[in-house]
Amino acid sequence: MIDRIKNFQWKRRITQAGFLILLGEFSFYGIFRCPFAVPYVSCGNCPVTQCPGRKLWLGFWIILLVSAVIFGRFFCGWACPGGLVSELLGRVSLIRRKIKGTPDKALSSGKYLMVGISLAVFFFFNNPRWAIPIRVGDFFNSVKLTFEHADNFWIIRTLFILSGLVLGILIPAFWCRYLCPTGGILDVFNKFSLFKYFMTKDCDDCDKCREVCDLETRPLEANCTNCGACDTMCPVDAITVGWKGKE
Amino acid sequence: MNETLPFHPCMHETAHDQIARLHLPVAPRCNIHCRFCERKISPQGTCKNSPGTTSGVLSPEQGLITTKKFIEKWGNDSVVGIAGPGEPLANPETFETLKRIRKEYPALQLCLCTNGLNLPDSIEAIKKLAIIHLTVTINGVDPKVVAKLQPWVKKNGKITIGKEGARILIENQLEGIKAATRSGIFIKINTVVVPDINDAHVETIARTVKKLGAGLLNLIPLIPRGDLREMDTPDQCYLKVLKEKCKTIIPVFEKCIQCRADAAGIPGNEVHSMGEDTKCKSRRNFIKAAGVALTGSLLSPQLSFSSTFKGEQLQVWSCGGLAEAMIPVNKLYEQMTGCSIAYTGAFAGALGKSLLGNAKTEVFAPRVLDLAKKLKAEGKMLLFKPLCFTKYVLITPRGNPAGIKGVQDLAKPGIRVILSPNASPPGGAAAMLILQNAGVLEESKENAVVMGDCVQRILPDVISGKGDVSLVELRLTCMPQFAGKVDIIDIPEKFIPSKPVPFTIGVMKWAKNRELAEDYCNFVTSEKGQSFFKEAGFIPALSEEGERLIRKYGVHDR
Repeated sequence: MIDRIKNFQWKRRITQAGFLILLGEFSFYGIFRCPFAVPYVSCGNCPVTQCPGRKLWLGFWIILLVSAVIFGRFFCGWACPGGLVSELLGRVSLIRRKIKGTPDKALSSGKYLMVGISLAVFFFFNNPRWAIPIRVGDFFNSVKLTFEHADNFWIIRTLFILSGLVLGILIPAFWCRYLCPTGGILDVFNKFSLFKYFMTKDCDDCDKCREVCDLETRPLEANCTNCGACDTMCPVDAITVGWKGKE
Repeated sequence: MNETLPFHPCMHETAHDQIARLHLPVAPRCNIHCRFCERKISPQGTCKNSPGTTSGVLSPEQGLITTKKFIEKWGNDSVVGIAGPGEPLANPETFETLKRIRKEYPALQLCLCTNGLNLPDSIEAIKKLAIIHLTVTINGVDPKVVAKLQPWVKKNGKITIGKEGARILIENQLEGIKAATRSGIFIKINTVVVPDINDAHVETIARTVKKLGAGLLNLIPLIPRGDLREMDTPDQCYLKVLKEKCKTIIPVFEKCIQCRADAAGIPGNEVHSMGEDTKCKSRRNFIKAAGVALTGSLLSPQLSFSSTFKGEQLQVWSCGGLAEAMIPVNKLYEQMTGCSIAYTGAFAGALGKSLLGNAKTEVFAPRVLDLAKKLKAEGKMLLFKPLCFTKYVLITPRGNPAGIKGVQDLAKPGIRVILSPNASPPGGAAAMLILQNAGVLEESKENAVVMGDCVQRILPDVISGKGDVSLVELRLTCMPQFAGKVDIIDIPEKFIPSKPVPFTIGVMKWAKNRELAEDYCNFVTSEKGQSFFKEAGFIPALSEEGERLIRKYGVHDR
């Protein structure tokens, strides 16, 4: 607990709060009111007039890709409102540090399955509309109406996302580690990005960093979001941040 | 914004409804040729109301007599001006008349409209008459554009044609405006918006005149007359988009009714200038009369919009298609009454299903007459009235590259058709039914290059030219992101299914304050409320066309 307070990471918290204000509503709409199969990507001519994504989406994706080239998978730990929810649920997770090694790797590839499904639905099925758009409406009423009149496909896709997030109560950051397609795409960028956290050869594999990590990983390994929580926790100071993974 | 404008009926939106104006038709000659102009003699009250029309030409003496009568009737805070029927600054009678009036009435507001060609030469005379407002008509600041609308000008007895003529006109206009504003004269600019000729140029005009010190812009839609009688007037909604764009540059006047060269009285409420007090049966007045009749017959007439409902809440549901009109209507109503509106707009079929189930709302504006009738029969809707009607049209990329003339052309081999059969029924199934009624459904489907599932997603495909033609509701072409970007072709009414066309608005039994709910419905169906529906691409119930459709579809709640 004291460790947590010491390691509060003010800069990251402020960034997360800022992005929550900027993207929170958009991310909410994507899950609960977006009528399309794959949310966040068909916003240009979406009939849901109220959704802030109509103005945000294109800039969002462009900036996300640029940030990925520079900082790798950094969005998840610094900006994603879903990532923030996952992180908070992770605080009370019941099954900690149980899934590692091969099972963890196998489950992690679920993200790429999701990327494949999303791309296929988007390109081959033209991202179909699975729900009746509630164009304008007050918050809870519109969510209720969306659920009430949506296709079964939409209900399944939405419940799937929500269960993925809620499973975070059992296994920390379940959605982010094993299912999130955006996270999957960003993970790939970690290999090439200009700046990132990495371990020097001083590392003695004590795994202290994995213990503090919300995604139960280590720098430069799958699911690292460059959040930097492990930076100050390393007993031998083997974790550092820098350019292209060189000291 | 209004506060900084002169309190003049043609320049200030409040003054427009309060201050009387007299146009003295003492200036018959003109010094330029405008291709949209038709100067003609037509008695007042015949509804041939447009600039350039007058019941006769007056001499300066007659002008003074008319002015005296007018001031007696309307008081000396009125405005007396000269606006034709030709170019005021090209007729010595203009100054002769104004001089006589100024002598009798030293404090009266005088006014002039001009094409600006003689403005630099007339500034001294105008200043001497203590005229502080001028309206200058500028249809372009690029000779290429202007030459298409004004093919010749006559300056100092010499006629110049084409671009050179246009250049002379523009030069004098801009120089005149500069000189006038420097002398402290307030300048309003009139621009006649002619589709495909100067519509794309309007913002440039706004920027240019703003720089020269003009204070107000008035975009007037082309009245197809003269050489341009075959052309279309710009869409109401496209005009609105242009106005919104210009508003970021210069204040824009919204209330112009394009009046005659002998207009007299408060605009929109004219009387014969020669004294007889007969109201012209203009469209406006017809609309007002129809409004009274409608609200009177369906809701208790003593309710008014001015009552306040401060702090109260009203839950309003409507068909999602109406959202573009409902959002600004709600905002205005909230401002006027102080109540707050919780608004939901979505596919009426879905909302209706919820309401027939367990959902509740206080006001509901559905598409499909039968849905309103069903809710009424179940006692869930207490009363309803006609709101508006939708219109189905064919749309093509700008310029109609495939030369589509009508719905039959969708069956022609090689025409690339864009359809959205899986959109919500009013956009999907109804459009398919129209094609079926026209006997071209199978052929159109064979010609389809896009089979979409959302009407808003197929418009970009039409705009980009991915297809040659699509069939949508007119309202979609009025959305800001699409307005003015497609060509529109009518579909004969006999092919249009009746179900998706009428919209109604009704008070539900769950209304906590029935007075508020009814007042809201009254406002939405009032002239002001209905104007938003017209701008969003609907046919308002409160219009001649709307009246006809109310009768055709039997839109009443009994």
